[in-house]
Amino acid sequence: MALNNETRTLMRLLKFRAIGLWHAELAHSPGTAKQYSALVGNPALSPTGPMDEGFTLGVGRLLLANVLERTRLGVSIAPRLCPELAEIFWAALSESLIERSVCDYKNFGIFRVSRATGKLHVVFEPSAVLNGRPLLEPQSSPYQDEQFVDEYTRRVMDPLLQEVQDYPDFGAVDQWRIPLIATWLLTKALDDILHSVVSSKEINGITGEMPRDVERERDWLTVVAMATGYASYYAWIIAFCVDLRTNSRISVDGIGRFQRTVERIEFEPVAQLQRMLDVNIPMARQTAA
Amino acid sequence: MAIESMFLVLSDLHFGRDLHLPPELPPLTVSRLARWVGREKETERFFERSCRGHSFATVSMLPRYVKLLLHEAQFDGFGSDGFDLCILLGDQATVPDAQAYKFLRQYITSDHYKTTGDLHCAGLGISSANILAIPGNHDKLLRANLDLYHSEFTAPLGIPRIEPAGSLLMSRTIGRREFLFISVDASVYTAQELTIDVHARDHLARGEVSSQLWSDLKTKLDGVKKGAQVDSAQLVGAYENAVKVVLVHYAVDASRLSQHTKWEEKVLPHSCKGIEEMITELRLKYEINVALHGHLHIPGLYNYKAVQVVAATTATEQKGPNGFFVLKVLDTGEIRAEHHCWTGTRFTADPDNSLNKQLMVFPHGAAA
Repeated sequence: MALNNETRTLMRLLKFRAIGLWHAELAHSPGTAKQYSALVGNPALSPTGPMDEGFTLGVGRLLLANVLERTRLGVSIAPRLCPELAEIFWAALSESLIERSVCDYKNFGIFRVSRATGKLHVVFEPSAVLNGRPLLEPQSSPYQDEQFVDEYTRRVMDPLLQEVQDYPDFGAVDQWRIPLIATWLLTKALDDILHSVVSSKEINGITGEMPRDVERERDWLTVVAMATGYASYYAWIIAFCVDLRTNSRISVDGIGRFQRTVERIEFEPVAQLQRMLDVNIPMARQTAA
Repeated sequence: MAIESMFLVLSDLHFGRDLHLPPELPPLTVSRLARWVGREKETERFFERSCRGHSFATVSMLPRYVKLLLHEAQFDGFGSDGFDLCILLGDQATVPDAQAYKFLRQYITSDHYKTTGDLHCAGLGISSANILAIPGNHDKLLRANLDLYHSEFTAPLGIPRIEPAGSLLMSRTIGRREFLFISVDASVYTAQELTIDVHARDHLARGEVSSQLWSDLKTKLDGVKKGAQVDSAQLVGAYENAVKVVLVHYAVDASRLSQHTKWEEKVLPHSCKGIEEMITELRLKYEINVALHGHLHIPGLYNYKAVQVVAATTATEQKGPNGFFVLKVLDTGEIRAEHHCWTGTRFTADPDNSLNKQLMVFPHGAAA
């Protein structure tokens, strides 16, 4: 199951979002604010602004130290990242369908658009995980660092996927249920994931204890942000599975309705999504991938 | 009733440095006095609350939704596949920055935007000749002038340049109607570049219509009334037959937007000194019809002393109450405002009727 464009794009977007959140966390957390402020104010590190390499490396080391000390970080990042994830997930889905007529989100499912019969159709093929498989499948990225981060993330998330199978309904209003469950899962898992990632010999072999540059994104800030992105993605998919299992039906505003029947999971797109795809997908592109 | 022309009104886009990057503050200096009176903390809070940058989801979905709107408008007789005008009401970028403006320029004018890292999204594909833009307080954040804004945003697009704390007139004949756009930059500027000084409260988010600005504007409008060319304005028809539209970043009457509380105003002033008087006189002496503003991130349509005011919220800021207006000129002479909002997963027509209504009927219902 090689990592495709759609999942990779989503992972990169989540990684960049996580970088922003980690900066904010380090800047405002009482335990790190002073050190972060010192990095910002250090002219040797940031002669041209905070995105300078020296600054990024410094922030990465500060983050690494906190992860290794097992400072409780997940509790503050999860509630901020999870509610944003759905926005990014559905926006990137629409964009992929318009650009490529297909969106294959690993461990979630594959959406396809077709105009084969003249009328636009959106079909969904759920992943094995959505269909009840108790283990997440590896994303098989061609990049070593992503492979290891994925593996360490799944090691922590897989037991949670099995654990939540027996959970009762979380209650809450429909639209909040998935972000709520995802936040809860990410809060529970993130610290362990980050600790295992930064302690792993594979990642240390790639990144090095004291990376000297941010080339190829092998600095600690990027590695931690990448792991945060993977973890939040899996937390969101597991939350979706839990909600679909307990409520049989999930309606996503502007996207469609997922319905679990005895035999399968069906997806029915809303009219607005179909209209938007119809207008934005060139007529010349007749069939799906 | 067919649609003759359509304007897209976007405000407070708050673009970061690229599709996937947040805004970045340059290194700042804090004056000793500012530190002593606690301005540093206050400014920090402002940066936290108001310097978030754009959301990927709204930025990538806006062009797709706008294309749908244009497509649907064609069924109502609109004869074009693009907007006649795109009006930007300020805070185009969260922090004035060459990279942010480059991203914005390409996003607005191209059909497709691609980052160097291979992420991409659709663009709005609007011709730069159809863009009107005024700067907001963020477009000169901690800057003593608009040099960066102009050199990186307006000049490369060929958009007429408004001077700091100045005004700019532009006339446009669109379809059969003539419009006079009166752009006003009511921003207050810092005296020291990139310095948090003791006056930070006065220029971070506050505006002011100075007596000089008002006096210059009156002179310009008197000239246009007499048929002269002023800035980029020279009316073909009679002054009274043109629709006069004021573009200003700051709120005309913040009290009409109930979500902007007095407490928020106390924390950091967002008001604009002298704007109410200016709008009143512009109505009485220069017969202005409509005013468009942004700034408070609260959508609204209200009447201020016989001037119809359109308050645009932030179109794309992260975690903002995102939305935008479309103004439609119908063949009956009616100008309608329609609001569209972001629900968290999509843009859609705003179900709130108070944000969808007739603004005015063209003077004398006349066509040019």
